[in-house]
Amino acid sequence: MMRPGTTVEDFTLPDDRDRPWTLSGQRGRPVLLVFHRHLM
Amino acid sequence: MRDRLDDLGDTAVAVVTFAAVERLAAHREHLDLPFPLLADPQRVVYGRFGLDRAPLWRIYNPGTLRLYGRLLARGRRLRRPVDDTRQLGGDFVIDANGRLAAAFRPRSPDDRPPIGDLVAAVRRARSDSG
Repeated sequence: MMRPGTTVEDFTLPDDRDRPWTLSGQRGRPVLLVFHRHLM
Repeated sequence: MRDRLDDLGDTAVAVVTFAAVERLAAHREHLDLPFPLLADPQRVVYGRFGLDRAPLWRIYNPGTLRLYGRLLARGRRLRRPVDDTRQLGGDFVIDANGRLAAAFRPRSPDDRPPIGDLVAAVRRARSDSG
């Protein structure tokens, strides 16, 4: 399991407009990732 | 969270779901979210971040039932979920250099951190990587 301080492996996921969103594309600013349980 | 967005400053915020991508646009519009929703239907990224499925007794614990009760009391209409209700969520802050700065992995649905804790974690990440 990833621990604080480790480098997060890059990933790409499609966004709500089906465009690729890449973690490495956000470099240079903090990222807050909120993982949903399920859509309500 | 919407009320505290200004406190996050220049932070990239994204909400990861395991819903199919074609469901996301309507959901984002309905919630009027100012940040993207991402689709991870195979839960590959969920797994990388250590987010598992919880047993039912942890999902429907007294705290979760109280949480749902509070939402109903506020007039929130709860719909029967069509997705896997046992999948846990989580919150993660990654600093400007791509390092994991903070991880919030709840053990049950009622165990999410207050938004103030997330804002504080983002601020620490900004100052530590600055």
